[in-house]
Amino acid sequence: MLGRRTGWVAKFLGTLRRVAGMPDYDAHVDHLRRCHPEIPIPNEREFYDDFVRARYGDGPTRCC
Amino acid sequence: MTLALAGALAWGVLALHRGETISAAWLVLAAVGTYLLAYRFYSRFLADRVFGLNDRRATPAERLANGRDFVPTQRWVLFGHHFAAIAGAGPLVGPVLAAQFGYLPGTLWIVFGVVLGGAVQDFVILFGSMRRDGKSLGQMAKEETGPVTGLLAMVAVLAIMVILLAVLALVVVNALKDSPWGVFTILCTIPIAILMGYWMKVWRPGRTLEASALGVVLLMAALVGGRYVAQSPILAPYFSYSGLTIAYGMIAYGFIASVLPVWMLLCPRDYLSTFMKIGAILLLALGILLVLPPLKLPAITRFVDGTGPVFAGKLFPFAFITIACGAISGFHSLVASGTTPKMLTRETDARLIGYGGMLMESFVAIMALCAAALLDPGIYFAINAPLATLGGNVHSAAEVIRGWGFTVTPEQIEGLAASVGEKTLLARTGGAPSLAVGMAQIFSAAFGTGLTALWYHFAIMFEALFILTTVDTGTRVGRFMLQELAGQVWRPLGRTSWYPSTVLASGLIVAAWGYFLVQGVLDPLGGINSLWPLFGISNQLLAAVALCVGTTLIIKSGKARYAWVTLLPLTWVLVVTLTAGWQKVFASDPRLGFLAHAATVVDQMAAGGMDSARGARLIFNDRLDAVVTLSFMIVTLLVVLASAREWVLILTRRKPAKAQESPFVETAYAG
Repeated sequence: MLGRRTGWVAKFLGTLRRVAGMPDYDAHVDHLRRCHPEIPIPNEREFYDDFVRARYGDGPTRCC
Repeated sequence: MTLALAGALAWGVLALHRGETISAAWLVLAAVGTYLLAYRFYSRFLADRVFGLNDRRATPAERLANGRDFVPTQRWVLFGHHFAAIAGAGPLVGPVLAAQFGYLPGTLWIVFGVVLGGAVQDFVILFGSMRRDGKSLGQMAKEETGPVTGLLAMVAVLAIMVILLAVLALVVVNALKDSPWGVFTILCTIPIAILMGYWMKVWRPGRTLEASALGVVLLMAALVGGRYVAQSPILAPYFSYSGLTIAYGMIAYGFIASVLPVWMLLCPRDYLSTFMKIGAILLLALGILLVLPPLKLPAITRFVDGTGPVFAGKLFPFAFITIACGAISGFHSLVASGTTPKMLTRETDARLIGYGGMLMESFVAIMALCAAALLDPGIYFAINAPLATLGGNVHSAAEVIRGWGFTVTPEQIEGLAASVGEKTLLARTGGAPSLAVGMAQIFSAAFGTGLTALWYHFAIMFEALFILTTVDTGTRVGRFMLQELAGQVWRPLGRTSWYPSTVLASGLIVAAWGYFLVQGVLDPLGGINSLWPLFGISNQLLAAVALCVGTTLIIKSGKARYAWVTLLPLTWVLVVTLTAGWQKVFASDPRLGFLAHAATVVDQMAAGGMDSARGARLIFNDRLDAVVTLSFMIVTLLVVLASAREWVLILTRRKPAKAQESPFVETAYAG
């Protein structure tokens, strides 16, 4: 529903996502294709699990 | 430039209209004008001369890009992200409490404190971490000043976390006690978050925005539903609890949230609270700009002499302790050396994000102060003074407040409570309710009356939402730190994935902040009186640690002649906090000094005026608070001394001035 869009809607939603610190699957796939073609591309579910683990793994992410 | 001149004009108006009611517009204008001037000139000086930011130097986000945490991010997006990470309930609560001195002291400290202190601290730590591949404050302290300093910094952070969680939880308890509407709405946030968690993880993996949109809609429904619960004679009793019950509920919640998987509760809650935060703050700014309410609170009240009912202590040093977030907040140094430095695209972006982000938080603090200052002073004190001072009902409260020289009638207090859908607003100390009343008045004036009760509970809901998110993340971070420390004693305890270790460490952290929370709820003076200063002192002392690290970085990079930019706020923060800490421990006034209060309890017990179990508990708590305060002061002084030794060694050339920066790599970006 709010996933794949193009044009300014996509841009706006992408901004929202990055401001909230949400994962961006497409950007990650893009990065893997460009820089690490040898690594298999994870599916969306694996990527999300990894992301959540890495983001809340260590250190405070929020202030009072 | 025009705005800067307007700012100067606004300060003039503030200075000339002492003792009269003035519009909040002047306050906002003075603040914004000063921010613009400071950003234009001072932050540029810091960026160019002191730090030597260089756009040809590749940032960690570029060099180490991995598409996950090291991601070059557009600077305004990162600004929003960083702001959402640093601003929470802190800048909303502190200024409201400090309003007992009047609006002027708070305004001056918030504006000048941030320009010369808080924003400098955030900027220097962000800069240091950016030049070191995104290392944390603790790691930087360890590398630049030695392992002992690193360990001390870590212990200090852990202790501060405990106090922070206790005091924020107390703010929520005071807002929710005997309030079925508030309790219902807040309880609803838990199943809503879990639903979002399953949505993002199981049903539609990774669709975070969808889940958040759903969450926000459900949250609004819960807010409206709360009114029906509160008005229903059958349902309301199920959601009315005493402060103590709510405190135990929050402790249980904190424990469960810390051992549940992140995706189920913490991560969805984090998203929900980020969107609510940005939305609510924009709404508040819009409301204040549309209404420009007159400030009814005097510029300076009689309570600068230290007899204030909300918390004890004179204007100096306590105004500067009470307002931490918004002026200078040590906690930010943890965020500025966490996720943000890994996302900077260009070095010069650090100026907007580090310095500018903190100015934005300061502006939130100014708006919170406006919202408190537009209340009738009588109402403000009815909400914020402890029950022991006000007496049990609106009549005694009105009498006491009239004694302080502010006019208020029992009917006004009752009428206000009824208009926001509560049975009573007396002694709801902690900032959240008075801010919510202020915001409800602004929103009603801006967006139509008739919804006052809904706006009030909207404000309570989002503040409680931020705070519960902090409780979740804080307990978890505390748990990780404890596990890391314990792992140095016995290896298996350090494994964060080992279940017994997780349960044990979570239990210990929750027990620690839970103890202070319960103590605060039972405190006859209202726990805010003892806990908020303790939080302020610890937060400012962490700022001192961060500024020490910052000074070391500047001196080591061969810019000793500019070290005053961090030494100036460091000196001020040390003078303020050490004075406040000393007074909280040793002052002879029992409302102010922990030890003096313990002594009065001893006397009361000897005279037979208090039963021995309760007395013994009060005495123990006073002494515990005294020991905690003294430990904070000692740890900080040790860090300052260790850093000062390092500075002297470098300046006398007995040690080379060499910072542990990552080597220079030329950027691949064009221009």
